[in-house]
Formats: sequence, structure tokens, C-alpha cells
Amino acid sequence: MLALILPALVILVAFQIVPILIGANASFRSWSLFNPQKTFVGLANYRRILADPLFYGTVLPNTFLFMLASVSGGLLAGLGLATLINRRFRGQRLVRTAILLPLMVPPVVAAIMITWMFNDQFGIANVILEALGLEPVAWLVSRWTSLAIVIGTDIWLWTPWFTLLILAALQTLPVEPHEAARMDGAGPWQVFRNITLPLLRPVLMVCITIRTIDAFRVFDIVWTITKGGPARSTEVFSIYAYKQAFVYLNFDLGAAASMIGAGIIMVVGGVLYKVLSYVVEVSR
Amino acid sequence: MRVGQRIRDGLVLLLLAAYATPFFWQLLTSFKPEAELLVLPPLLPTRPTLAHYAVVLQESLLPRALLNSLGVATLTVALALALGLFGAYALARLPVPGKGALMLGIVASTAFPQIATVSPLYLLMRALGLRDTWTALVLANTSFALPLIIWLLAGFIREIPDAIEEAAALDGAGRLQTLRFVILPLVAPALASAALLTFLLSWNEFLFAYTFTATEASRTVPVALALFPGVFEVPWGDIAAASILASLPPVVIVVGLQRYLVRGVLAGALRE
Repeated sequence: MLALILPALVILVAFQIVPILIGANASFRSWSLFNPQKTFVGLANYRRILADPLFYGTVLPNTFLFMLASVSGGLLAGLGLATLINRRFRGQRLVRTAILLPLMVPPVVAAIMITWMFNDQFGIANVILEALGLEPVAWLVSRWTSLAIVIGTDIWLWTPWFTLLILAALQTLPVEPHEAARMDGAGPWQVFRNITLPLLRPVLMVCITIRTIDAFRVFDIVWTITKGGPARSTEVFSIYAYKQAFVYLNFDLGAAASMIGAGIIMVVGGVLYKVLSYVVEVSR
Repeated sequence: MRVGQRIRDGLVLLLLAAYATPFFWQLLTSFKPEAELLVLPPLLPTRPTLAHYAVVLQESLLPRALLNSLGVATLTVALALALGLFGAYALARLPVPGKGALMLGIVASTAFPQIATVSPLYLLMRALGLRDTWTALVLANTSFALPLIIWLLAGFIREIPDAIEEAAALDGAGRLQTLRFVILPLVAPALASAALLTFLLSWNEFLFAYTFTATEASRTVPVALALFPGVFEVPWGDIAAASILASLPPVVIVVGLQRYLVRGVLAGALRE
């Protein structure tokens, strides 16, 4: 009977577990892609990554900023949208389709669309600014506007996911507490704040944890929009590790950076889950 | 009250229109003649053209990339679903030793960043002689999708009452026959959800495809788009047409098979 699960296990081990082990092993060795000596060097690679000003001064702050802004932005937008459309109305299916589309379209395509809209010469963003009598902005030339665009793209991509999950949760909520609160004269905001939100906490907790872990390892949209530029100022953790391995061909440093990132996200994910579980417990 | 609702309806529509702007803008761009691309206004194309689509379909490598993406995604779905169904059934029903730990490991592996596996996987694929092949992408994508599929299906199978299987066993059905004739029809909707999610995951996947492919022999659509050639200036009209074509399969799935898709997304996230 073990035979049933064996094929899946073989694939998972061969293409998920073994690569992680190869990477972990490489992170302790001197292993360049064009000169794989594979001599053991202890923690030297980790030291080099952690001492790299780019890594601790730019890459990690970018990654955490991206994570925080993208998750909270998507959460708020999703919460708002789900609350707005949580009832029967005409065109429900159309609305749902419009909401689902960004979630299903290749992120690379979304990134290309946004890059085109924020093109400094021909993009519609600058046309609108000029129509309003403002100066056009060279969006992708500075670090902060570039990061803002990348974060905005991610929020755009993931708002549907938040909306979908929160909407599903809203539709299973009991009606009695809401009715009782309204009878007692509570306004819509009070009902939302004191009844709906606490009841939604479990699902919000799951959303936040999953998306935080996801946002930490973002690669495709950042790569498509900025490639980490200008001048490596928008690199996030995955871009940094990728460049170490495939641009500078330092397989060892790339592996060490990956391991550090993996460690961070395990800790962040674990702590987040614990804290949020605690919050949910307390609010019950 | 009615006025309030009207305002709310209007607000929702307005929000959705704003939300869909990138799509519509890209769609408009793809129909604009070259001369109108770089001057604004007019916002709308005065003489809509299919020239960009013609260029993309006849002169670019996108048709080949579409074929690669379709092939890789289809094979990934077939392999991942077959392996996932057996695996999920075993995990849900049979006394597999260390089941809890195994399940935990499978979930934990989904939290591991893809970037940590991609470069070792690249070396592995190179050593196996699979660089720049469909096989490399199918294997990588399958291993990436399997945890989600197993999780999704195991949850569904666990909800099927044991009694049904016991009845089948009394009637003389073996394990595999039970799986084929009793379990399979019952999990078919979940299987459909898992298939759609896996297809989209493979269709949209970028990092593996960007790393393992080298030529048009295996380059998938996202890679082809990211590497879209522009000699002196970026051909925005062609890129717009190409990205609309790249979005067609997901759009068809969202519009046509929404029910299964939504169910899959919900079940995939709420794994408690």
C-alpha cells in the first residue's frame, strides 16, 4: 500500500528535498559555477553575505517593506471590496469575474502592463499627471517610486485573493449577532468593528500568514519591472540570491543567501502564526 | 436606504473600473497603430489595427512559446494529479507510518522559498541532461504543485465516509478498484479544482522556466514575454498583443470554469 504514495514522495524528495540539501551543502563550500572547487569553508559564505552592506542595508529593508506594504495593502483592499460586494445584486457574476482575472493572469503579464502604464515618456500615468497640470515623473529611475510601483503591482495582483477568501468567510457568518447589535442601535461602522471584524479574525490570520510568507520570496514581478535596479536599489531577497548564483555565478554565496532567507521566513512565519493565534484566542 | 444602496452600487462599479484599468489599457494598446502608440491623446485608437497580433503570431517566437506552455502545463497537470491522487488517498486512508510528520513536512516545504531550490535544481537538471527541455519544467512544476494537490485531495477524501469503501470491499472490490470506481467519482469536483490550479500555476510559473530554458525549444510564455526582443526601442504594441494572447487561457478558465476555480482557491488556503 506504501506503493501508492511512493511515486509522489520520490518526486518531492528528488526535486524539492534533494535540491535543498545540495544548496545547504554548497552554502558551506567554496563553489563557483565556473570553478566548482567544493572545498569546505565553514561559515565563510554566511559571513560574507551578512557583512554585505547591500544585503543588510538595502535587500532586507526592501524585502520587509515590500512584505509589510503589500500584505497590509492587499488585506485592506480585500476587506473593503469584500464588504462592499457581500450581498445579492445584479451583475454579481460579472463583478466576480472582474475580481478573479488579475489573480489568474501571469504575474509577468501584470508586471509588463504596469511597466507600460508607468513608462516615463508614453505611459498613461504621466499623461494623467500632465492633464492635471502636474510635472511628469520618471517613475522607474528612482528607488522609492520603483518600489512603490512594484508594491502597487503586487497589491493589484493579490487583492482578489483576499477578497475571495474574506467574502467566503463573510457569507458563512451568523446573522443573529449582527441583527441583535442593530436592534441595540449600533451603526454600520460599530457593527463592522465590534461584530464582523472579530468574527473574521481566524480567516484574516490565515490570509496574513500565507501572504506574508509568499511576499517575502517575491521574484517575478520585481524582476520584470526593475530587475532590482536602478543600481541594485530595489533588490529583494530572491533577486539578490538569484543574482549571486546566475549573474555573478557564486553558487555558494547564492546558496548561503537562500538559506539565510529561508531561516528568516521560517522564523517570521512561525512567530506571526503564534502571535496571530494568540490574538484570535484573546479576542474570543 | 435606497439612495445609500445606489451610491454603494456606483462606488463598486467605479472601483472595479479603476481596478480593470491596466487590462483595458493593454487591450487598447494592442489595437493601436504604431503612429498612435507614442502620442497621447487620442486615448482610443482612431483606426484599430490587428497589425501587432499579426507581427506577434507570424514573426515572433510567441507561437512556439504558447505551444511550450500548453504542453508543459498539460503534462504537469496529468503527472501531478495522478501522483497526487494516489498520495492523497494513501495519506487520508491507509496506515502509512509517520503520517502526521509526513503531512507536516509536505506543508512546511511549501513555505520554503523557491529561490533556495532553483539553483541546485538547475545543477541537477544539467547533470541529468534535461536543460532546456519540457521534462525539466514538468518535473519541477509537478514537485512544486504536489503539496497543494495532496493537501486539497486528502481533505476531500477524508470527508468520504468509510462505510462506502467498506461496502465496496464487501462486494469484493480491491483497493485499486475502490479507488477507481468509488473514490474517483466522488472526488471528481476536487480533482477539477486541483487541475485548474495546477494548470494556472504551471502556465504562470516564471523562475524555474526562466532558469532552466535556454532556447525557443522549451521557453514558456512568461519567459518569452520577459525576453521580448526590442532592437532599438521597445515594441510596446507587439508586447501588448503578446501579453493579451498570453492571458487568454487564464481568462477562458476564469470565465468558463469559475465554480471549480473558486472552490480550489478557497480549499487551498483554508487548510485547517
